[in-house]
Amino acid sequence: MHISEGVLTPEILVIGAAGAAVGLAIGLNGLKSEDIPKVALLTAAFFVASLIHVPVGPSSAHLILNGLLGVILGWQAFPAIFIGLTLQAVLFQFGGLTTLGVNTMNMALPAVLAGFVVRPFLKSGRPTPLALIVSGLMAACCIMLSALMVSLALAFSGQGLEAIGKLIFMVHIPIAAIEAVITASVVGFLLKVKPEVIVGEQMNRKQDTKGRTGVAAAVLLFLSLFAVPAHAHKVNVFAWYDGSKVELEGYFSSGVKAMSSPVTVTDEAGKEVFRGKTDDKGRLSFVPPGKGKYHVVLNAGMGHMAETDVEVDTEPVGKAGGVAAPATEKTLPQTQARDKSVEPAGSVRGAAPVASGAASASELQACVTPHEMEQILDQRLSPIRRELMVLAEERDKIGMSDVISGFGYIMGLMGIALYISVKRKENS
Amino acid sequence: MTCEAFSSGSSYLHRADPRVKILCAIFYSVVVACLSGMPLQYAAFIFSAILLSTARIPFRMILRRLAVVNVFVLALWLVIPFSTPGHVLFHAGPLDVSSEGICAAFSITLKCNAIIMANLALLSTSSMFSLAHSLAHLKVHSKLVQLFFFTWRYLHVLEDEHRRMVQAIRIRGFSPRTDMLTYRTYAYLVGLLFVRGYERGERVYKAMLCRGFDGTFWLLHHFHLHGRDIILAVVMGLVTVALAGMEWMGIPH
Repeated sequence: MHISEGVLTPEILVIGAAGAAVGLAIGLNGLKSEDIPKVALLTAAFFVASLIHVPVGPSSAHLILNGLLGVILGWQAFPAIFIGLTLQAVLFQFGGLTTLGVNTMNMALPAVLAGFVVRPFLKSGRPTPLALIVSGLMAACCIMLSALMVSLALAFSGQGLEAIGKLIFMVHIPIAAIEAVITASVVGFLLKVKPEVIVGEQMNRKQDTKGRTGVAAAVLLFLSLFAVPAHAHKVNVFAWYDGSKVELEGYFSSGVKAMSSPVTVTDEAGKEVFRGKTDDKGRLSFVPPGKGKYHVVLNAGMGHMAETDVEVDTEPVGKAGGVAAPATEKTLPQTQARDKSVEPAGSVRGAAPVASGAASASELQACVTPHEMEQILDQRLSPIRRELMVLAEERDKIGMSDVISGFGYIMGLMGIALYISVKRKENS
Repeated sequence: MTCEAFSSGSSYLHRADPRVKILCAIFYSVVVACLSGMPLQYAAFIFSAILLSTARIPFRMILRRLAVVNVFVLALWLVIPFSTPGHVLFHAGPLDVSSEGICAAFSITLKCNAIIMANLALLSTSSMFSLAHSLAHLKVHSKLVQLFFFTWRYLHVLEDEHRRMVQAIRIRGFSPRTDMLTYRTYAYLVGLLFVRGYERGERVYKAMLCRGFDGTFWLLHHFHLHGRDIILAVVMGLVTVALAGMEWMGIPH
């Protein structure tokens, strides 16, 4: 599950390195010097274990065991994984120097979380069925979480890489199942043979309160990971002119709206004509000072900008006043009303516009200038524009629901499998 | 494990100061990873190839190593040209191949190989111990260096343990299949590996205490910068800064 060199964008590399540095600092801070040989030996054991290939149907997969690592080492999983990955990068050129931070983060953060969840169940020091089931489930979650983080890192690095991210996620589903079985068995084995490896480490650790702040830190670190990429990828802005004002909307490719982001509008000469902030739906509208092309720049923070051009081809209605203004006020509620009637009466809607269209066509000939007709058309088309925008957003969104449903799927299957296996063991 | 296969040798890079090599490798890798223009990526690729050729590692060994790494890159080539939206170059069955996709895959290939060749030349030409040693001299957190040192020291010991255990289960007629017995056997093997590692770690620490270990990791050997190290540092520094500068100013566009 290494991301190799040259794939990720600098932003993702920096986020990964920063996260890994925090994790390393916490891990090393909690490491007492008398534990160093022990932790090093366990790291070496993990390195050797990760070279073991187990058969999966016709092919084979190597063990990852980061869940187990978290259970045994806690925060020390960060230095352990960091060292393991460094060795792999220098010895086999797997992964790489620049991706060391991201890769460490992807593997170690789920490990630490798994450790926090599983350890309370192992306090008794006996291999109870509940303890084994929890450790197995968490091992599977851990792998899937790592796979998810890898795919997110890829998805945020390029549009073409998203497909690979999804592929990686899918491939790890069977691996997660195997990891669950093996981790549960290893935990059972260790609790029977040498509980100190798991429980002893735990006793070395300080009181519960410290553990709780640790959990909070891990969760925060994890959440920040999702919050940051929300900004760290493509931001889009859509702008259109509806005859009276220019409306615009900003959103990220994940579908999150660009809320309260500053927007600057300049005219063709480069002179600033408007400056404002989007509301909590990522929207903003303003009345342009006159005809012409306007350049809209939306700044979504962290150096992410989106720009677009909008052409105002008629004199804005709000300014012109007089004849045009009442006309727009009349048509605006009409379009909204029609928009609402879409859901309840689909068949009626089909007939209505035709009739009104026919009526207005004859009227138009008589009294509406082409200029006014354009304005009316603009207004009528604005719901369609909105629809198109929603579609475009939908298209750009990352298939998060696929990813989350994958989780549930594994959890369910693993639960059933482990339940059956434990029942069988109890019967025999 | 065929680990430090490239570390023995007497080329210019083998004799260079590992501290200089580590710093050069880190800065060069980071800059190359950030390059966005194709001409600069070519330049980095060619420079890395020249650097690697000065390490005088047998060509076939390099090719074999690069081939393994490029399996990952090949996987990218199988997906990116089809999944990147853009100007459609031609249709391959139901899939469209976009020119943007091919460019992206090509640029990743160049960058990946450039960094890996540079790291082969700079890092793999030192032994692990001298790398750990120079990390200590570079003021990396002492605990991290110690962990690194001990992990590497006992990796081979545990590898031997592992090999012996695998031999033992083979002798008893074990053949891996996709079933619970196989997984449980592997799990017990891994568990035993941890037990051995844990116990050995305790013994190692006691042995160290007997020899007066108090948590400080003494450095007896010190590196000295020679003229050749300074030349390496200057050349690598100039190339890195030149690449970074041209990327920053967006020159080849």
